[in-house]
Amino acid sequence: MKIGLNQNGINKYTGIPEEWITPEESVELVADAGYDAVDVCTYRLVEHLGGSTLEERCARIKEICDRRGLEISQTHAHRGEYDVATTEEFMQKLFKDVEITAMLGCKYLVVHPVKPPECNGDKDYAFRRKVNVDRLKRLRPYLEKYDVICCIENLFSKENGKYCLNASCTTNELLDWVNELGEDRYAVCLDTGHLNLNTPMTGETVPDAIRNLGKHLKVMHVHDNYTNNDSHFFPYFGTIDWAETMRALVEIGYEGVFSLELTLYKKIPFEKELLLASAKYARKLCDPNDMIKRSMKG
Amino acid sequence: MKVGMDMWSLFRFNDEPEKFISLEEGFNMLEIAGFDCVDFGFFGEQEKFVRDHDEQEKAFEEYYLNVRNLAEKHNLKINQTHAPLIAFDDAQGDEYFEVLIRCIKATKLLGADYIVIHPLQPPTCLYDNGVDYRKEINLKFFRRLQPVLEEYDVIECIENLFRPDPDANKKLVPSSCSRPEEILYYLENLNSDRFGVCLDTGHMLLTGDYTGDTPQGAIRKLGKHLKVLHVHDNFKEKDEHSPPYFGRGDWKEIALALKEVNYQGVFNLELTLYRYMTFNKIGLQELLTFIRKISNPDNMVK
Repeated sequence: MKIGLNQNGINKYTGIPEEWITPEESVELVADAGYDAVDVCTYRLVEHLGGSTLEERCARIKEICDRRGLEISQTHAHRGEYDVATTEEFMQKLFKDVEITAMLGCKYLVVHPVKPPECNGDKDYAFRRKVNVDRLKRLRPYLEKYDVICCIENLFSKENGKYCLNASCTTNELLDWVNELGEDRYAVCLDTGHLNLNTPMTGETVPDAIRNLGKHLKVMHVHDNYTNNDSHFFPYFGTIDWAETMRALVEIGYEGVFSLELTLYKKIPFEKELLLASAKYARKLCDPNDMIKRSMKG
Repeated sequence: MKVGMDMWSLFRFNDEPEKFISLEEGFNMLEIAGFDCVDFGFFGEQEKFVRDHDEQEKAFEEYYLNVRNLAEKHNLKINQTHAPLIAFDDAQGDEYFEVLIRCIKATKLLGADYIVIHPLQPPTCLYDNGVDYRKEINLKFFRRLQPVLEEYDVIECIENLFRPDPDANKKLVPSSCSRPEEILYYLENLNSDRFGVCLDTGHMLLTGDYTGDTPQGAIRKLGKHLKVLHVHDNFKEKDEHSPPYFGRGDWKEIALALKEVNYQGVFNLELTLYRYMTFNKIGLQELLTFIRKISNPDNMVK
């Protein structure tokens, strides 16, 4: 199984221009750390373009990846809160994200569902289903035109500082949408950390989710937490059962990339050396083939 | 600032033969990872040794001098030690006191200046309950130790603690020395250079919401009395002993506070690495190297 890393975890803009690690540099850093694949954030590509166009940047990113033998295994679409993510302006960004994904030679675009605030507390399933299905359905012409698969990601929700359930918090809900939208263009991105945040409320664990998703699981956001914070920690730095998770991936015959989604920049001092050290350590700690071997030993 | 690591967490799996790590192997791992110092805990096999051997025995002296030599061979200084933990009812007895005498002598033989001995924690004295009682018994406990500390030229560093509240679903709550003011009370009353403070950053995070303290605030309150550290992180719920940045600690502020009080000691990590080392020694070495890189107080202030 290949291992990937999100470049977004490395290139967040600190506010100080000379400190910014550009998307191009971040992709190089993912390659330097020894990964097979990279998850590229479309909303980072459009930032600070300088004198070049978006197309030129995409070409540069693709050239780097080709040269370094790095597969762009998935992209991450623009994201926003409900009131923003349901506007026409935002939908235009999503349409463009499909095109960017194709420009990068990538097949899978990860899209966040929307969580109507009135549905917090697991309310009004029919309404949140309709809002999400209608919104995602609008991507179909672009997905077909550019031959891209939309991977719907499981999220978490919060109200008054406490975690609660809303749209996409269980895999059954995601599968319901995929069945409605059509599995030829729609699949699932399992975010292990988000799922773990919901586990105390739903009882569904990460291995349960993998087994339930089966063939519909195409890409992953792999990270860990203690169920009390969306920490985006390395696997083993939280409460997810990684041995059982790997057994579940083997069981369903998962053929995608084990793509880590770590926010390395969030807390440690923002320095290239430390980011590279973190990325390298995560690469070694979370080699999916080693993790599978260990899981089979019990 | 020099950076240290407790040895104990490296040995947690020593009951599994394939994962057994000897003292020398552990020192070697710490050296490769770039650590400068070691915190030597009298736990597990080390607790057994110190309990089984009288400090007057030649073998006792030879053992600890040998450990010290091994550490020095790997360019490590044993900066501090940690006495065995014990239930409150037994902590005031003569048997435990004898063990503490041995630990203090061993500390000297290991070349360390500091030993951390937990203050007494009466189970009923949670939060600020029974403060007068716990102050009375702890002062008595420390005063009994003072001549031994003087004899071996070692400093006991009083550590801030917490305790699970049985009436609140075992929530971790303040108890002995959770407030810096309580530790300062002991130092003032003991009035001896044989006592200092060990600030445990993780414990302070656990009790700080109740007492109004933060690790950085506590560092400023303790100032020159702060001699050693137990550095670790958590989410203010469980005593996770996670590396810095893997919890709610504000590491920039903590590093700035240490600088502000002109802390001259070691940035000593106290981590339960076993949590992440369920597979092999190579993984442990990589983890140690990674943790050493991110746990650089000179870098944290940036």
